[in-house]
Amino acid sequence: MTVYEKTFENHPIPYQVKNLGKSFGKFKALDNVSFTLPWGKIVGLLGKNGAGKSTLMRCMLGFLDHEGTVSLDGFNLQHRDHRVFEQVAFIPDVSGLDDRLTVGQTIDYVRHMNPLFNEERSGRLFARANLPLNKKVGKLSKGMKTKLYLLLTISLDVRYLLLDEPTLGLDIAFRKEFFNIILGEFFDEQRTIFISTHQVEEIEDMLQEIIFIDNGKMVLNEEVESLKSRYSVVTVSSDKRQSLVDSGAREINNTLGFVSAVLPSDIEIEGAIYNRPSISDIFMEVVGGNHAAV
Amino acid sequence: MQQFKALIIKEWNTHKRNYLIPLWVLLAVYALSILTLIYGSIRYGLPSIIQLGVNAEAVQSVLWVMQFGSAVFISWICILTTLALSDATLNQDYTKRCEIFHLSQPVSLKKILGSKAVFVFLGIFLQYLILVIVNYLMISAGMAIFGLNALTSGWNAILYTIPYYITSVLMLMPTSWFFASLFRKNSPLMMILFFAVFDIVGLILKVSWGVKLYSLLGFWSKVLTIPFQLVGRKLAAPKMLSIDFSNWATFWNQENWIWLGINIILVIVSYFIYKRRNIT
Repeated sequence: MTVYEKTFENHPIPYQVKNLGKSFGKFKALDNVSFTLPWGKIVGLLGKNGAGKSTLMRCMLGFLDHEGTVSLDGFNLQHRDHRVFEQVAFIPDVSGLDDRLTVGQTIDYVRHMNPLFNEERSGRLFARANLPLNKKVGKLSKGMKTKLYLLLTISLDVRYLLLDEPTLGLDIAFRKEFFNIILGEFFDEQRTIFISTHQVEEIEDMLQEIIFIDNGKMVLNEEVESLKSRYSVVTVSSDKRQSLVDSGAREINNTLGFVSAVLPSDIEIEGAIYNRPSISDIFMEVVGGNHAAV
Repeated sequence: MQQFKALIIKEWNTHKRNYLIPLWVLLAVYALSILTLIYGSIRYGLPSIIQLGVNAEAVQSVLWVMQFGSAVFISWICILTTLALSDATLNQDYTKRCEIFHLSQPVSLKKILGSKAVFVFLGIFLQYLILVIVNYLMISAGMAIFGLNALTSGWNAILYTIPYYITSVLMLMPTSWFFASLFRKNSPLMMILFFAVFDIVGLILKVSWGVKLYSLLGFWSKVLTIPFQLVGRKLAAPKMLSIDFSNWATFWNQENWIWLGINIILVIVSYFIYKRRNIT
């Protein structure tokens, strides 16, 4: 039985955020955010630039002091509380590995620092990855750095994996490989992945729950299936545009001869075509873009 | 223990270039000395030291000064490296944008800071010991070529610099740690600026109202020049064949005991300042 399985049995209280607030001077980056990360789920965090996604994750890890509470396994985490890393691993938005170390030194460092390092899994993953062990991390490409960070992170027997825009700036092949590795090597029914990304389309099929955040406030937290069933993409001919506006559409998209908008499923417009919305469609409807519907 | 060892190895892997500055400086001095000797020998012939041999006591004094001076020089380089590394070990993870990676490990802050202190304080002390001993042997071997015995006087000279080195680091390192915990960037510069402003204000007060304030720069220069004070006060007078530390007690006056107390407080305060840092 691994460490995290033992903990799972002993402490059935998950990762919880209550009334979380964070201000930088007069700017309120997070305002009264509350949610629970359940076990065995992949939860997405979606928000515009500057919405507070990175701040939220950093507060959850104790990197930033904050108002409200973050608890894990029933105990409240304090600012700079290293115990959180006995259960949680994190990959930040910018590859934050130490450029001064070689790949081999980096692996050894994590191996000896982290009692949760799984030798068997790590050996298998790194044997396949074929990373140059004697090369300085600073000399690796961005993709290789991210891959190294990912492999190190999923070599740990942690229950929670927090990913903050982990594939930012990577090409599509690397992004696909990244999520394949996570799904194939890390995720199971007792582990939770909390991921923020701008490329939500790429992971839409993976996500089971979604949290929308806007201007530091949580505006939605729901199961993806339930959310998608509450909305529809309604398409009408261009001359019926006003019917979408009258129905409360916030964002109207133009296509050739048609206009479409995301509306609650219970709204019916005569002659309209109804489709299942994507998460980004719903996000635009719930949070809104930069332009109001006109 | 495994984590502590990994932390020390990490400090070595990330700071070895700075850590080895005293070695490179000493090698550069050796290289320069050898080049000068070769050039001088070619141009003017081998140096004659027969005249020195007339007075054995004078020869021993010269040898003692040579050994003592070079050991003090190595001490200075090591002390300055210690101060520079205090900033680098505390803040370079931040400036190199890898702080989150290092602080995302399940290891306590006390262990992290403890490993940095051990690496900087004991690590450089170890290097200092190796360098002064190697230097002592080099000089002694060099002198032996000319038929002079610098072993005993040289060893005694080294023994005088060891308490000097430890005292200086104990007196100065906590202040540099304090500033390094306060400022993530340019902390040595901020420290010097603070000292300068403090002393200038003191000078203005003294000139304008006759109020005498304590001089921080004065204290630092006093600590760094302990070897000369010791020689001046005849605490470390060239004792070729014996050594006597009993007079060192006079160095530990009230001022230095107060500073030791302040330094203990500074170390504790530095820990809490570092702990309160937000990681972004």
